Amino acid sequence: MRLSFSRVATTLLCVAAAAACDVTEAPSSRNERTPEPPTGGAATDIFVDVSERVGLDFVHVNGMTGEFYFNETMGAGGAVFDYDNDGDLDLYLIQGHMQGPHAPSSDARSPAGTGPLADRLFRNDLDIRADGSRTLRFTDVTEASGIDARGYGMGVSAADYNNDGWVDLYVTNFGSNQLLRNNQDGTFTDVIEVTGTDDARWSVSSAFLDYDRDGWLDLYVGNYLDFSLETNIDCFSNVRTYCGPDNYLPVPDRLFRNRGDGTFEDVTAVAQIREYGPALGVVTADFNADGWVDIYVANDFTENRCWINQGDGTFRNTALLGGSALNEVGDAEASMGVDTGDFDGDGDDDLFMTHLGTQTNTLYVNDGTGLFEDWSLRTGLGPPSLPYTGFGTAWVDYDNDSWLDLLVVNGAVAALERLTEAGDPYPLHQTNQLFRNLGNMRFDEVTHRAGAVFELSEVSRGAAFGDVDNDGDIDVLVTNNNGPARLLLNNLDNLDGGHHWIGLRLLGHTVNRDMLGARVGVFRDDGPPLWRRVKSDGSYASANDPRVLVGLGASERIAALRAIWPDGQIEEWHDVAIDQWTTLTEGSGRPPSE
Amino acid sequence: MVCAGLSLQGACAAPEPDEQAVGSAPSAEPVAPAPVSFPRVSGLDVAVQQQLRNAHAAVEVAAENDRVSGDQYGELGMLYQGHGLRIPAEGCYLNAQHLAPDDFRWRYYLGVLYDDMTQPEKALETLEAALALRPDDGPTLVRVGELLLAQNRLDESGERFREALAGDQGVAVAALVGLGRIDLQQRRFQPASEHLEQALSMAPGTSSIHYPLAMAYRALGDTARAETHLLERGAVRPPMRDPLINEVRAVSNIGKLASRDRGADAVRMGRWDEAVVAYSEVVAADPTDAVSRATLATAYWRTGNREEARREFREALRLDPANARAHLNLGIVLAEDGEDDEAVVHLRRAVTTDPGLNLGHINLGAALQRTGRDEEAIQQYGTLLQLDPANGPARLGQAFSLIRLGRHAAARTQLEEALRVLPDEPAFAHTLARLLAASPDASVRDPQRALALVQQVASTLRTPQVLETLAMAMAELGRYDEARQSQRAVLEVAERSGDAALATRLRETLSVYEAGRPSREPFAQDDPVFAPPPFSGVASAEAEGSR
Repeated sequence: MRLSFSRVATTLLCVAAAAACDVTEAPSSRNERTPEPPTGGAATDIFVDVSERVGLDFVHVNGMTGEFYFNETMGAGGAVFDYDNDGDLDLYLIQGHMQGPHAPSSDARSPAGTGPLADRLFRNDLDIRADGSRTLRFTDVTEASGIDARGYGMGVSAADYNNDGWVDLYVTNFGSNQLLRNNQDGTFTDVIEVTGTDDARWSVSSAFLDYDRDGWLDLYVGNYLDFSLETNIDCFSNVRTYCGPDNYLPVPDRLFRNRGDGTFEDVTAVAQIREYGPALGVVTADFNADGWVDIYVANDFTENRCWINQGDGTFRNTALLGGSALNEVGDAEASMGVDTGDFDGDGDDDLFMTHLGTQTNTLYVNDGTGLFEDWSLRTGLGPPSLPYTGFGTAWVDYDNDSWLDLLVVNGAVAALERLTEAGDPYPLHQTNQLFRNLGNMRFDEVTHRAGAVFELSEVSRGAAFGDVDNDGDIDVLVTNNNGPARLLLNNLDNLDGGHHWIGLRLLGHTVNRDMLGARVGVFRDDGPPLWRRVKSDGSYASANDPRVLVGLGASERIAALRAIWPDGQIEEWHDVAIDQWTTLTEGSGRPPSE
Repeated sequence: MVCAGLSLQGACAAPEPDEQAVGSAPSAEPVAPAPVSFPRVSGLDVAVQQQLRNAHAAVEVAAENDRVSGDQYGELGMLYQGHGLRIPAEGCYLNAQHLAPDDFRWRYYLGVLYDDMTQPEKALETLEAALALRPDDGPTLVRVGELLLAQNRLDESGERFREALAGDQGVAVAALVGLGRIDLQQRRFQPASEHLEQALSMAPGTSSIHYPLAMAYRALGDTARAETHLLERGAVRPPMRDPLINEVRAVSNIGKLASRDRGADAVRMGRWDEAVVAYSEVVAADPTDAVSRATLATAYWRTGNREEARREFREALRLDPANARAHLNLGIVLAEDGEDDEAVVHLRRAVTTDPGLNLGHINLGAALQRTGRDEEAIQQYGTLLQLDPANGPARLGQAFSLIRLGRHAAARTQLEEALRVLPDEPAFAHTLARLLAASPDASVRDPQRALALVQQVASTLRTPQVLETLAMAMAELGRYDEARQSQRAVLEVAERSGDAALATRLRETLSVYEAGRPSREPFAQDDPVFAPPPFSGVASAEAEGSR
């Protein structure tokens, strides 16, 4: 099922119309759901790849020509976000291209044949009928959107940086980046120069956050290595392969402060973000529960950084003593993807990150004050990850049982011996993994029943998470290096009757409109409170749905919803209906009862 | 495998596992020797390719004639394993195991191989089978302990580590670290700290112990001690005597080649911890490699492990007494440790062997000066100045030796020349000003010029020493009020700093000024300027680390 270079090269020359396809999905109400799974997936599959049938026709091109350029294996990500404010999630996919002597001509076409070799925007035309049944389809609207993103793409983050109610995109590249401002009419304008947010170095993951709590989203850009095609060196195992990151020097990250007037200022030095490594993953959360959002940077083969917000415009890296810089034996691991979530239900954000094969993926458990312990072995998450090189990942409650599970997408960065021996032209591909949280600080790998799509061996990189069909469960956009993007729809409700859930969209007025950084507590009569954070960052080079989807398990009602806004204000709501999406607007609740 | 650094491949440094754990090679022993395909080797050195082809062909011929033995397959497996070719190595070991089921070696190597291949369950199964043949084998017990620990089977893991600890001192440190890690997993922080401290006391250079120890102290509330250990953290793994693995390294020598490449990269990038790990592997594979030993010593030195550095430098020089850079670096280490007499011996050997080693000349001059051998120091500095006339430290050192010998006129000439060659170096102007203001040799003194020079220096640099020189010049000009004022300012600084000896000397000079007399001692005999510190440098290491 892999897409080899030869196929990419062939498809580059093809021009074929992208047909938007329909697929009937389950209705929104749990009781109304149709029992049949979507076509193409077995009834027992948790996730089903519906890409082809919904019109998601995108193949990433890494441009490999045998030169083994180091950057070829690192891209690219994607975003799930609602660019047209119609209530459903659209998709943005990052593209690469040929490099060096094989650099693209201006008329190079995408493998899908739908336009130039560039990033693509797919509009979600979800149709939910009165009986709850729905049709999901995507339309490539890149040309109509005015987006012209032809850099050698890496990643994307999504947020409404100018608080106009329309979500914007920050695209990272191997080279200059792009800030695509949403014009509120289906089009975007690149405002990278006007906003002052460009960084010509090799950027991979970025994150929007309001670090100074002024109501405007600031931007952290994680930069990787000082690499150029001219400095590419030859590396070998038993055959020639891609080099490791230690052959190049890291470059500094950047923190841009949003002035609120459409421009940003580079405050990296002022904020005292001085140490840096080869950054691949970036995630934000309030790790020490002081009300100020912090930044965690996952570095490749270098100590990770946990930048604790001092509340005065500066940050302090506490990762080392805090126990989140190195794994339990003190090794700096090759961190790629990273995410935060309250997996153990104790109210704080824990960290999970993906690593190179021969290293375990690592779970750092927060004690609530920003001090972490490596629980990778105790939870059972470590050993199953050893053979895999992980990239995109997220804490998601895929089965809505109220416990956050983990999905990890994999793909090596250097030749795998067994694949090389088998004559594989791109011997990096691996399968992806799904881990179920058992609720007792242990995880069980359930990849074997996750679905046929988990049997595909591909070079996965990005993973963006969100409820794409608005049916109350988490879906996944998986982006593959030199391969097709895949949309994995969650099919679980067809398997065991499903659990209850509540979906929340939070909207701000005085704080940032997206409410990034806000926390939501779901209080139940028959279970402990569930705390979730409003976020679109995390994973690898990808942007997630900022809406909050909370699995409730068997709970049939919730006693209260409590939101802690980014500026520290607290509001509560009662008698909120479950098993549906609800919008909570700042100021519409009441002060907490206790 | 949880990166304990005991595997053949150097654990964490391996860029990728070679396959996915599930559903790859069969774990059951073959019913008969199965053919082993010759692997792709285009990325290897041509000589290595030929070595592999020859060895592979020999076994193939024996197999075709039904004369192949377990040893032949096993030794071919060792060759492949040593060259990082794990797929054919696996096939060879499985065949060897089939042909010689009671031979411990093939099970052990296969188990280690599976661990490297990130197949922990197969590794555990195979190594436990090896243990059945040799129940008290220390390295196997430690490896099994680590595999069990990675699977969170802590009680069983602890049993294995304790058995290893009781039976084989060669693996004691690794076993103690394993027990400490188990304690940490169980959140038993006090015993964790005790196990890890014990391991560290047995092998102080094992810098990788510091991090888990820091986490134990952090949990115990001893943040200060935790931070101390964090500062000392590094990548040097627990030592483990593992003769069988050393045989693999020796057979192939690949461990050495790969590790040396990795080590050279680490040196180039200044990652000394990694260099220690890599060059330790090189030295383990080839204990007679003097150049690698010298580079390992340099890496130890850069990571602060001076004892190991000295030991490795001496061993490198025992193997190759003509290694100038090893002499140089050992000389600097000794000088930094205050052992100047022995430092002089090695530094002299360094510059004799390689006269172009400027760092050797300057350090030899400084060591001679520190030991009061000023005549020799002057000569040594002179040798360096012939090679490098613009060498500021050599000119200054020579001038100070001349001053200490009372040859102030020669010192003045030297300093005038130095100022001409290096006009922007304030140290020359300042030293010359002192000499011109306070030399007991009247022919040398020139107070007007002294004042001009020191005022120029003071315009950008107002250190106590400069103010003291200013006082000397003022006094020599008969401007005693200003001299006393400047001297009092310096005295206050000395008193605040708690330097009683300096304060006493400054007070004595002040009393001279108060008596209306100038100073006639430009520098006290115990002034630190006569004992320059050792000069450190990384250029030597770069040369050692180059491939």
